[in-house]
Amino acid sequence: MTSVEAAARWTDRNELWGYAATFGAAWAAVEVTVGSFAHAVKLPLAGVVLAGVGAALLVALRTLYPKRGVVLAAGVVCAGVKLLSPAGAVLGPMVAILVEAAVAEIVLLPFGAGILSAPLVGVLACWYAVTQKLLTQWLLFGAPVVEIYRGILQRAESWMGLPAQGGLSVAVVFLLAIGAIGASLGATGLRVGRVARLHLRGAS
Amino acid sequence: MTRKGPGRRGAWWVVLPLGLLVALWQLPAVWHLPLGLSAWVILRWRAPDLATTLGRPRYWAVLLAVFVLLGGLLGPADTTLAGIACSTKGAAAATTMIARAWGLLMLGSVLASAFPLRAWIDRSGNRYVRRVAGVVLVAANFVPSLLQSISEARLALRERRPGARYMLLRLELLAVHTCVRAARLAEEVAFDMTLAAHNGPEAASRGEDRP
Repeated sequence: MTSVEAAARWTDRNELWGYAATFGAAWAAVEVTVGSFAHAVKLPLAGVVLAGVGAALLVALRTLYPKRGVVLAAGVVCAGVKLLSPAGAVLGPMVAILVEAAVAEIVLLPFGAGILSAPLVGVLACWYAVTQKLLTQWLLFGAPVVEIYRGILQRAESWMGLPAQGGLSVAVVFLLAIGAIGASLGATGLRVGRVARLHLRGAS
Repeated sequence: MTRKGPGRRGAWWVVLPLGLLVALWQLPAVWHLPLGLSAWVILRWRAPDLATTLGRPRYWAVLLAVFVLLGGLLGPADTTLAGIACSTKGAAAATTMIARAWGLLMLGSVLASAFPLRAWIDRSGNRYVRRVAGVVLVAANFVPSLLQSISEARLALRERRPGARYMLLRLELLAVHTCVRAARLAEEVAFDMTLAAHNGPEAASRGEDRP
């Protein structure tokens, strides 16, 4: 390897960790601000909103700095910052951050952030947030919590006048609504990343 | 009196949540809530640092009320209350769920204190772990300045475009501002890291990888 190639590789690696550090910090800052706001106003599905905002930030990062691995690195950094935070429960959010970053990295790996992949990252992040919530509750409270949710879905089905399908139709509508929120946030992340890139190019 | 650290007394405290979980498994549902409450009170009284992950009592009181209501309404009806068919089994199952959650959270808290992850990372000699830990520390130092920057930008945008109808635009501009600020900081960090690696005391040992 020539010294020029080695220098380029070294600079690339430092740039990747630089972007991972600052966007990981930005994600942590969003978790602090949006998370505190969502919990303070008792926003329903706060985890879904946080996951969507995190996905938007990751898509914006991949748009600004289109290098493989940077999204996962930002997730690792954000999870590390969460570990350092004085909050009591950090394991759940840390797992969520790492899984969301891994999912985003896998989706963005082949073609980068685009018109299809960006909304998909948002959708998967939000669906994962719902899945983790259910999984955590199932682990903590046991199997009866699933029966409670099934009962609620069946009641909702009858109130909405939908044909009885054991609550499946309401669950599908709910997941589609969550997916729509995630897709719009993912697309927003792409747009924000592109505008920020234009700003940076204009400045330089 | 000096207080012992959670790591040193963690092992003994495993008995409390394990005892609670075994009791929940063996005893009838009517005992579950009093047992869970007793275990929580003991933990809060004798080891308040271990009880941090349990959260606020108000949160659990609301959750208990919601679960008992849902369990009572959605469970198999075995009694009537004010003319409404209710399920005592469902309500009892709800108290079991809450007590089980307390037991598992206590167990998690005790185990986490017995295995101090942060101390292990600090002591790790692995080059990659140390590098990531260094980047995490840099990122943690950036959080307050980024928050300050976001707050200033939010106030400036609100002055420039006030009103609820510009809220979405303000949010988008704020997101763009945050991304631009983070990208500029990233370039500075990368430059500093290159300089530090070039001039640092460990540079000689990494000579083969360094330009």
